[in-house]
Formats: sequence, C-alpha cells, structure tokens
Amino acid sequence: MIHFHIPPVLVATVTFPGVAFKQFTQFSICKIRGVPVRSVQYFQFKYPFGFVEYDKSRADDDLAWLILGPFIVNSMAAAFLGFPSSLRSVYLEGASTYADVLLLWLAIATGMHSIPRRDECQLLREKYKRSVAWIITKITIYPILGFARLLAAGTFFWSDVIYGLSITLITPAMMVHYSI
Amino acid sequence: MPVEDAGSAPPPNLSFRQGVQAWVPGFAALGLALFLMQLPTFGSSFEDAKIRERALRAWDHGEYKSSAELFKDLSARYPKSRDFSVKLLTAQYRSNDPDAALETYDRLVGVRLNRTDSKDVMEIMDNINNGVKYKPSKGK
Repeated sequence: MIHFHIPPVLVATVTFPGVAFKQFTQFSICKIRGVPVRSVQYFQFKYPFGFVEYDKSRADDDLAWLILGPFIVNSMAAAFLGFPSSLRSVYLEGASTYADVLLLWLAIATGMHSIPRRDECQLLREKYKRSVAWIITKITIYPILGFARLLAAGTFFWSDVIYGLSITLITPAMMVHYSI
Repeated sequence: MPVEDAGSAPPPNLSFRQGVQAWVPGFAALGLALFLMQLPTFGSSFEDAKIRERALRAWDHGEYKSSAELFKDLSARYPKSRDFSVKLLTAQYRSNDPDAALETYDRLVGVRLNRTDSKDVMEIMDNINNGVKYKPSKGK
C-alpha cells in the first residue's frame, strides 16, 4: 500500500478549525453534563493538537457523552455544513464559488477531527468493560465506539481524512442518488 | 484529555466564559454565515444535481435523446461547465442529431477542454463531416 507521509502537525495546522471545533463541542458537553473542566487547549503545534482536561472520575454515561458526543455532533455538523457546497463542487462543475471552497474546507476539517483519540476510545472501552451498565446502553455504545476505534486506529493510513471527505462529499451524493 | 480527580480538593472548574476563546466561536459563526449564504441556492442546486443524475442514467441506458435534452437544460444554466457541454455534444451526435451537435460545438469555443475531451470532440466533428453515424457497440 502506498502511503505518503505528511507530518501530522502539518495536517492538523491546515485543518485547525476542526481541531478547535472538537474541543469546543467537548467543552460544551462538559458544561451541559456538569463535568468539571481544568483546562482547555483549542490548538497547539504538538500532539495532542487540542484537548479538554476534565474530571475522569465520572459516571460511564458522562464519559460516553464526552468522548462519543463530539464524534457524533461534529460528524453531523460536517455533513450539514458541507452539503450545499459539495453539491455544487462535485455535481455542478463551474458552479462553485470561493465561499463553497471555504465552507468545504471547514466541513472536511470538522469531520476529520471529530474522531476521538485512541486513548479516549481505550478509556471508554475499559470503563464499560468494568461497568454494570444496562445492556441496551452497551448495545448502543459499542457499535459507535467500535467504529470510532477503527477510525482512530487507522489515522496513520489517513482514515481521518478519508472519513472527513466521505461524510462531506458522499452524503450529498447518496441523497441525490436515492432521491430519484 | 481526562484526568484523575486528585485528592480531596475539588478540581478547579472553568466557567463557559473562561473556557471559550473568541476565535473558536468566530470560526463557527463564519461557517454558519457561509452556510446561510449558500442556503437560498441549495434547492436549485439539489434539483440540478438530480437532473444530472437522471441524464447520466439515461446515458448509461443508451437513451441519448433524453440524455441530450437534460444536458441541454444543464448546459444552458452552467455555460462554463466543460463536462455538461461535452456530454451534450456527444449525446446529440449519438442520438443522430448532427445539426444540434454542430450548434453545441460552436458554443464550445471559449470552454477550456482537457486533452481527452478535445480528442473526443474532434473525433465526433470528423464523423459528422464525413457523414459517419454513431453505431452502438455490441451488447449496448
């Protein structure tokens, strides 16, 4: 498999709004769930490129919201934001404007950085493994967590970029395809 | 980045105002503003994308006449589109309408074509000039 290595810091810098949006969503969820937050870093030039330092000793449900919440919310936001622009850029050649390009950049960045980090996925998995959560909760959480872990594990092979592009560009394509 | 709750002292808790830097909601607002700017034309873009999909499906089924009609509609609305113009010209030629194809060719002047498209267009023009009609390949 051909793999072009681009330093992750460069990718994160080019797509910095996505990094910041993820921390913003996570911080907002902390506030909504009443989880104490020690510090927030929206963007920095080293790994992790952004983080929210929150109280780990929380209920499993809080942790699930904090780790999977930004993944779901920002993925939906990316698909939603990029929808009109990706239609014009992909389907209607010659119709896209600079505003479309800017919006697509924001949408793709939001989507690709919505993926939780590997350590976050691992933490949530460990918590649920030990917990006595309702089986229905586990059935809901595990597939999403599994998908997030798969994406987080594949970042070396650009799974984050592929994911960002997919939800931004493929969602409208599928909607057009199935609406006829 | 989760942290263990250290000792008995309650952890410091940033308020929403303390934790949010102005540039982050600023970028979010920019995204929302751009999205709202694009929204009025969203309906027509979605309809046009559906027309394109229908035209391509007709093309795939060898229904070049109906495909040409749909591409003509799109080409009129997106005159800068190389893809729509070349597809229109090809569909018109394949549906045995060389006059319409020649008209489209006249309008192609000024549209920037890539090498493959130029070759295809020139081949169609040669065929029209020599009176060669389109013959679908076997199995189509």
